[in-house]
Formats: sequence, C-alpha cells, structure tokens
Amino acid sequence: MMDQKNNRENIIEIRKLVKSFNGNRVINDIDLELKSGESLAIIGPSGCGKSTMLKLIIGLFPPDRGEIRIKGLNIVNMYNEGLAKLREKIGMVFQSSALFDSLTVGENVSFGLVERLKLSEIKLRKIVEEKLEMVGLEGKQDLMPSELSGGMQKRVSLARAIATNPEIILYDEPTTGLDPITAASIEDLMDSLHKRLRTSSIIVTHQLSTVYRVAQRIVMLHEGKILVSGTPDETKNTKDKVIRRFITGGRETL
Amino acid sequence: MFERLGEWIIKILEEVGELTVLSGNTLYSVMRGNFRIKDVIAQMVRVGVESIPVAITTAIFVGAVFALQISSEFIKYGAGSVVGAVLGIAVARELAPAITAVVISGRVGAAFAAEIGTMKVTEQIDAIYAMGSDPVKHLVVPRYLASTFMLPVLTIFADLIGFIGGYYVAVYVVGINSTGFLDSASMFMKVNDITGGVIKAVFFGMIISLIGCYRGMKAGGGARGVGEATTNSVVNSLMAIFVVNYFMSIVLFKR
Repeated sequence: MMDQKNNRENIIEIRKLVKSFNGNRVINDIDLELKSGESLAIIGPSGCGKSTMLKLIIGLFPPDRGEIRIKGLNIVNMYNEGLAKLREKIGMVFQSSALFDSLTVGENVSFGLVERLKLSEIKLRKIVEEKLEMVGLEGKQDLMPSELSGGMQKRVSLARAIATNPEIILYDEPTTGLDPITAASIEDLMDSLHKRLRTSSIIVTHQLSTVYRVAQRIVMLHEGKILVSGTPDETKNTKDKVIRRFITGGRETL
Repeated sequence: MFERLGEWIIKILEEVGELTVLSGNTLYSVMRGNFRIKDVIAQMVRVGVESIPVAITTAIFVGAVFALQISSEFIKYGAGSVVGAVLGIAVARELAPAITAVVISGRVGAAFAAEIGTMKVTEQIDAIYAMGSDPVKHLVVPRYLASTFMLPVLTIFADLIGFIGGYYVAVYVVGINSTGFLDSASMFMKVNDITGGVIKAVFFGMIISLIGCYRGMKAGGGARGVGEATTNSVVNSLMAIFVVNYFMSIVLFKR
C-alpha cells in the first residue's frame, strides 16, 4: 500500500457527472476523486446537491451523464446484483439516521451482516457488541431505536455502517440537528473511527465544526459546480467571495 | 383539456407499468426463495389472525342483511324454499370474497402503504439498498405471501359465518323452515361455488398487498406523501378488486 499522501490510489473517481431533477441541473459536469484513506468534506448550502452526490455514488439513482468509478468499476448502468456487491464495500450514515424502527438496535447493526454472511448467532452477537462498544453504546442492543436520543441514534447508525468493515464510509449531514456537545462527540467518534479503521470517507455537511474536525480536504459545491478544493486551512484563508460568505455566515463581505 | 387528459393517461400507464415490474420482481424473489420465513409468519399474524374479528363481524351482518332482504321477497313469490340456496351461492361466490377483500384492503393494505411509505420518507428504504439488500425481499415478499395465503383463509371463515348469519335471520327472524333452508342449500350449491370464491380471494390478496406496497414505495414528501399513499392504496385496491371480481365471476361461474 502506498502511504505517501499524494501518491495514493483513487478509491472513488467521478468524471463529468451530470444530474437534473425536473429540468433543474443539480450536479453540473463535476469531476471529483476520493483517495484511499482520505477524508473528504463536501460543503455547501442546503439544496446545492450535496446529498444527491452521495446518493449517486451509492447508486440509489443513476446520473444523466458521466462516470462514477468505485475501485475502478463504473457503477453507472450496473445491474442490481453487481451494485449490491459493490455496496458491501460502502457504509452509509443517513441524515435522518434511517434506523429500521421495527428492529432492535442489535438487529439494526447486524442487518448487513445477516444479509451477506452466514454467521452463527454467537459470532453475530459478538460483532454487534464490538461495534456498539466502538460507538460508546455497549449493552444497548436490545433497545428499540425509538427509545434512544437523536445523538444515540446517530451512533447506532454509525455502528451499522461500520458493521461489515467497509472500505468507504459516506456521511450525509452526520451532525446536523444535534446540539453542539452531541455534535462534537459524533465528530470525535468519526475522527477516531477514521484513524482506527483506516477507511476512506466522504462527509456531506454544512456544519463547519464537523468539517474542520474531521476533513483532510474540502470541496465546496455551488450551483452544481465544484467551486474550490483544498485543505481546511486553505479554505479558511481563501479570498473567494462565495466561500468566504458561506464560512462566515454572510457576515463578512470582502 | 386534451393535454390534461393525455398526461393523466400517461401517468396511469406509467403506474401500471411500475406495478407490473414490482409484481414481476416479487414473483421472481418468491420463486428463488429469496425471503425469510420469520418475516412471512409475522405478516400472516397481522393479515390473518388479527383480521379475524373484523372479517367475522362483517360476514355475519352481510349474510344477515342479505337473508333479510331476499327471504321476505322470495316468500311473496312462493319461492321461500330456495332462500338457503340463493344465500349460500351469493355468499360463497361473491359476498364473502369481495367483502373480505374490501375490509382487508382498508385494514391491511392501508397499513402496508403507511408503513412502507414512512420507511420511504425516513430513508429506511434507501438504507436497505445502501446495505446491498433489496426492499422487495424484506418488505414486499412477506406481505405478498401472507396476504395471498391468508385472504383465502379469511374468505372460508366468512363463507361459513356469513351463511350462519343468514341462516339465523332467515329461520328465526323471517320464519323460513330450517330443514327446507338447509336442504335447498345442499341441493343447489356446488363445490365450485366455494372454490371459485376462494380462488378469487387468492387474487384479491395479491392485488391488495402489491398495491399497498407499491403505493408505499412511491411515497414522497413527508407526512402528507404518506397520507396520500395510504388513501391511494385503498382507492386503487377497491377499484381493482371490483373490476377483477366481475371478470373472474364470468370466467369461474359460467354455466
């Protein structure tokens, strides 16, 4: 494995991606790549197409044009079975947590494992316990999602995403709507998981604290285009008007 | 105006097409055994066991009111002796399967649409896909199998209970001779009347579950979308049930 920062292979490669909804071009000719082991934040105002990006990457709907390569394989126009196989390598944390509310916490975490591998009950329980412990929720496997707070649900969602040891984790607004303390604890968790599991991740958010805490590279999406790509420090000190307005909440004009 | 009509027709054709694709995927999953028995049993309890009280209540009173109306009329024309046969045939061929299907589409089909619709708008369906799995396997197939199996069972219950309800009213309220009632029923009713009704119920079970699941999976736009999905599921199922019922009657009970 190549470990030098700029020399790593691209685990996700997006070329000339276009996606419109009802004639409105949400993603307009975008090129983007995620390097192996990298943690990339996509920022931008609500409705700028950030979440659409993630859903395109995981193949929930096809793009109008362009290529999305995951580990070298183009997922556009891929059949369901091939797509399902590729999704095994990806964990996704949804904005609304999207836990299955008819299943217990433990069943939620083990859902993907039961799907893919024939594991014994004991082995399954062990993995569930281990993943829940990683997100600081040991012993909670028998609770129902409705019995948990928003922050705890997010943790379960994280545990579910890492249950199958994915190589890529996609986060859709992981800290939006949480109080600052809970948000900070989720950020810490994301950071420690990234270091421990050496996953590559894409974090879609408009929460700047999250970006500065966990991202190594930031791209800003604006009107369907990528406006800038750089490290958190470069982004903070940029002279670009649109980005400055976004990161200062519009209070500072140059 | 024609444009609106055209759009409306295209939308309907599109939905029928999508429903057909969902039916195909469901059957494919069923044939490949791509589902969990545990899920099917859980749905069977919901669709079947928990629907028994409402199915029975409806059947008793439908049988009773039918007997009430025909008994007094038939007596007027001196045909009191065939009331048992007419009631038995009407209940077995038409009333029990159709009324049970109506009740179940309100009770169960609506619940399918609301439940799956809520999962859709809270991204749970996306999460199933994202984990490399298939919502058809987890959500549609168990509901489809449970409905297709339990609706005929409920219909057999309704046959029996509806007939008993009618018998009580005809004999004890209107005063028709009990032996004559039962004799006429056993003389004129054929096995085909009952099996025909049960075959209808199998199709009604498929219709209710597929439309309920389809409407749920298509839900969008939050709570309002889920509400619309639920209403549409019941309205569509009812229309489909009555249309299919008519044509199946032609095929199943031709002289």
